[in-house]
Amino acid sequence: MSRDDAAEGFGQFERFLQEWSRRDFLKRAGGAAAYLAFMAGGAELLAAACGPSTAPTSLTPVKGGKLIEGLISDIANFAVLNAGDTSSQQVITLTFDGLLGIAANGDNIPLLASALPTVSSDSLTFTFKLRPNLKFSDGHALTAEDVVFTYGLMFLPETSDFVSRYRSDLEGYIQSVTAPDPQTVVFKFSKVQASFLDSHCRRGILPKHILGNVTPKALNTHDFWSNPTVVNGVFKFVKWDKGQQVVFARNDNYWAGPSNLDQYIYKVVTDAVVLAQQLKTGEIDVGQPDASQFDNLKTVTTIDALTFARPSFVYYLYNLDKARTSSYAMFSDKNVRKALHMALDRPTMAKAVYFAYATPADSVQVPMDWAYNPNVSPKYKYDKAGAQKLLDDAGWAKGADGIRVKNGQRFSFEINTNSGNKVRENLIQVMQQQWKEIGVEAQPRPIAFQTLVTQLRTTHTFQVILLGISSGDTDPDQTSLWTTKGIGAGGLNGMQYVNPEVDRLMAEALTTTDRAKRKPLYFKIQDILADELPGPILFYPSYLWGINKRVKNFNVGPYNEYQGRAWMKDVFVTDGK
Amino acid sequence: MIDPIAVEAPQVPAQPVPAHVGRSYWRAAFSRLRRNRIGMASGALLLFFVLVALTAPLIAGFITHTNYSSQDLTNTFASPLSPGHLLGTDDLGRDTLTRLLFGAQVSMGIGFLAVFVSLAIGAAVGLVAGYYGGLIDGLLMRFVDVILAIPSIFLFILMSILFKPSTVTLALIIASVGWGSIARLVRGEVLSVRTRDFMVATRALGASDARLIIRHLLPNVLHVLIVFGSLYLGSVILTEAALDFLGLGINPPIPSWGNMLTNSETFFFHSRWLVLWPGVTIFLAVLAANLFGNAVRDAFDPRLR
Amino acid sequence: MLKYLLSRVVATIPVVIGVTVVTFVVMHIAAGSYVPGLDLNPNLKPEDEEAIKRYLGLDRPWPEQYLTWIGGVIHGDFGRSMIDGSLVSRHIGDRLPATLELTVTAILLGVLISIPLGVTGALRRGSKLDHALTAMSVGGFAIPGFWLGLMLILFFSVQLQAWGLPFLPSGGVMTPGTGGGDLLDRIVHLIMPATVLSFVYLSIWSRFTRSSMLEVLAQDYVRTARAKGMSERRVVYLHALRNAVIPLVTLVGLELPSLVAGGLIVEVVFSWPGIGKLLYERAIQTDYSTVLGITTFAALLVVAGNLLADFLYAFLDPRIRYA
Repeated sequence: MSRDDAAEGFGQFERFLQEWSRRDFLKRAGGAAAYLAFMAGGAELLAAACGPSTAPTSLTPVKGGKLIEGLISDIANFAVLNAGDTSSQQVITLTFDGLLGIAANGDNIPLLASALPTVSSDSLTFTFKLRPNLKFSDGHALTAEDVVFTYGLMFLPETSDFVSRYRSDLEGYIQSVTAPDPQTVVFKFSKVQASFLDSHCRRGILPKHILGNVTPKALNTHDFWSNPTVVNGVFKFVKWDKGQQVVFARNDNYWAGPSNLDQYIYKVVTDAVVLAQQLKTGEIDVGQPDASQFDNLKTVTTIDALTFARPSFVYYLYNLDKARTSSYAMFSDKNVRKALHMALDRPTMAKAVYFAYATPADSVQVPMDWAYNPNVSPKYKYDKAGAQKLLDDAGWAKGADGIRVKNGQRFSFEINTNSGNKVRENLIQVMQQQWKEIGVEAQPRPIAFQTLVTQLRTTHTFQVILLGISSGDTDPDQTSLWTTKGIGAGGLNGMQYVNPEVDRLMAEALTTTDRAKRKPLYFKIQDILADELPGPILFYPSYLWGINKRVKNFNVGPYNEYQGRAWMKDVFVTDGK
Repeated sequence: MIDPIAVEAPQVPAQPVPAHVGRSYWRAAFSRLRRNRIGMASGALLLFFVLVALTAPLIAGFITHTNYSSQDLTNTFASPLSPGHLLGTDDLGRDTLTRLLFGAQVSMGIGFLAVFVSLAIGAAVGLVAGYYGGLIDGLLMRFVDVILAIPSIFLFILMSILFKPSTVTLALIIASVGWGSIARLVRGEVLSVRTRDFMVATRALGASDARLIIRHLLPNVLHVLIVFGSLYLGSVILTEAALDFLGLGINPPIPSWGNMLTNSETFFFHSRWLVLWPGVTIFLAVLAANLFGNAVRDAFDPRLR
Repeated sequence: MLKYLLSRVVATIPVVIGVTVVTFVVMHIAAGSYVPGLDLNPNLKPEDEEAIKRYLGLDRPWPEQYLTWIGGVIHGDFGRSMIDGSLVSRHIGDRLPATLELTVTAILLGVLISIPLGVTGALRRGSKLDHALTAMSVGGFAIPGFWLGLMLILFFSVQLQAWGLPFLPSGGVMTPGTGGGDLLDRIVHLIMPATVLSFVYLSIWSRFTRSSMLEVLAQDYVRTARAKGMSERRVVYLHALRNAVIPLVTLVGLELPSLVAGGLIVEVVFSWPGIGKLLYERAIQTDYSTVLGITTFAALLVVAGNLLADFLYAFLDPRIRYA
């Protein structure tokens, strides 16, 4: 189904930036991300590619104790309907359940709803039944009225003073949200919004008895978003020492039963080195270390050092706008783009820059998605000679200074990425070097994240950008990345790439929910994009986790790290401390 | 660290400058400087860094045979004394020594440029303010007060995110704060000099303002500029390195001693040397600049020892 | 005396106004390149942008915005973040104690160590020890603070841990979950950053104390005291020291304005949740309004600090009052 983008997106992308060095962690909270949501699906490939990080244990859960998770960036707020960064989303899903949640493999699972909704044949009506006896943390009952209230904030004209990032996805689509009885919620749509089920049913349900009387405008700056007094999730909020830690305590009124842990602490850690260090000492129990620290961590006996694939990729994209004559002269020829891609020694780059915790990629889909084409064609090997030949044939002859020239224009351009992300900055320097060897001059220039996004969507004066895309769910739709619908302020097709065939295939794949019909269409799209290379994919980086052995059932997977933390109910620590 | 500029606003003494600073004054100062062994040694070290900065490409070409951006992804984190890499390589396999050499260009270049620009602006403002006095003086000095009230490191960071720093821009950013202290000092000197007999006389003879300022006041405050400049160089180098380290100054692939240290601690387990070399180099350069600055100050007023 | 104080206060007003004008102008140069709300929602339509701009008050004419700004500053409102709309003053309030904890400790450390160092150097003037101390001072001033911090972390935190020895924590104010009550824990976290920050103070102040001490020891009254048969100990510690330290206090007073901003680099290196680190974090995110709000606050503190220093000098030095 078509997603005009990142309702959740930013969060995802953010998450992606999150991994590496200290500064880009700092970027996270503010620097939202260009993002694309792949949409849901099952994941046959999932079992091979990823899975729960700790094997299901046969130990009986020990009650009590606390879990400390280390993260490089502080949360920004508890804005349930607005959070832009992954840290905040993580704690929000810990404190607020929605109708549905997400499993490690990306499947929808019912949380507050007792089952997945019944959907009318025309996909315009969704009916949810809530579980019986739902309560908020203060004991007040959670009913369909709260659901109606929460969604009302996102689509009703009366509430438009309340700023929600999901409004543009819902306003104009949802006709009404009603509660025929306290346990039933009915969503009626005026037109099909295929992403609804996978992206918008996870929104935390807000307590109407606390927030119902606040005017929408006042709600924007309400204290609840930094101090959620009443929650309905696994943990309830205790306190937030800004810049240092956020403390949570067990919510005894949680619908699935009280969690094993007494406390969960989100600890802000300086940087990758400190995170790894604290994992070693046990000052923190779980965390995502930097690739540069990972090898060292693997030697520590008290820690499970886990790596598994993540639904994201790193790629670079060209400015293919005809109006930008100099970029167009360089990049419009498909063979030139092929040559540039062949000149990159991606396996070695993965080893050096990612310390081998990334896989060279060939397809625009991620391997764990059901629509991934493992035999995408063409695939590119590192072939400097071949690259040189393609460039020669395309009329770019080597000039006196070693840089190719054609019609008086030197093959020279600037390549940007977001500043503060050490891995990306290193990547563009490596690319510069490797392209230099085939006579192409690239100037690496990191720029502020905001500027990068604006460039992609509005300014378009860039030449090449290196970026990462991460997905929050498993739908393979990429309309906003590769089609004409994605060009402009709402999309991510910063290349201005226009291919009617891709447009047609992408749109057709959204007209049905039958995977058997959609799959061949996505296969074809992957082949076309691999041949045309408007935005060649470089790597699929891995998730890296360090988990102390005393922690059990920490079942984090590709899709539920920050998108949904309800599973934390089952986590326990063997020593009960 | 604490504001290097506030601290370094050196105690350039209100010394009893002779009625007219003449050649004998300068000569005496220079001979005192020459006799100061530590001063001369540090001056030599400073000169060494300047020469390295100027000839970095040559040295790289003939001695290390690599460029500062030549990578070798298969030879990352090499230890010092490995073949071809006297000081080892970094996370992308680039030669550390070569990068230090080119880093000198950045540090020395920005250092001297920032000092000169600060001196120029500061002198101009101080001369004008001191000479004209009254409203002009009041306005200018209030403006200086405002500039000096804003913590310099905050101002640097602010300007770095507003204007993307190239080498020259960064020097100008640093200079934009430094001139304040100089302006005050110069103004102070001017105030004490302008009432002198020779000034009154020259003016009575009909000399224009500009002539008085440039040909008569300026030479008499020059010693202040020289002393301050020499003492200021060290802190400019430190400031610039700190800004680079924070990622707000010169960015890779252009090497600077400061940005070679950014993220170096992340790679600590891969190569312990990466943290060492750039820091030592900064230390030596700043030490040389400081000691030389002290010597210059002592040369102009031996009583301060 | 009152007249003098009043004149000082009056002289400060244009500076305060100047600071707010400068920050305001810079803010507008910066805001021009920023799209508020983009971080919240990439789907932002032009109408939504306009709405957010109106909400933040960015569409009013300049003079009106300036008056709003300066009015806010007078009331302690230093603006809102461009990224999440949070109040800058709240951030400052949250972070100021941590910064003060660090800088005040560093200054105290600096004073406590400089005095013995300086006195020793003065008493053993010309000896090897004196030369060594002088060398250390000069050297200390040339060490880049961030590098020193880095090296200390790498040794005392990372390396010691790798060797299985007890080690110091490399960042933060306290161990998480302890609520900050444990004094020993706080001290352990404070040691390294405070030491690094005090380093530069040390270098200057120890030399200064030394020369001040030398000057005092050369005074007539000291010679008289000795001639009268007073023990060297009493001469030095009872009389000379006290007089030598007074100028040092003046120098320390000069540092007061830097209490807020001076620790920025140390805060960043040691991840100390203070104002400097906040500014740095926000700067990276190009949150211009927060950066400017903090800068204005710090600048006003400097102005206030200078004013306070003027008052103190007037109080201590009678000559100034009648100037």
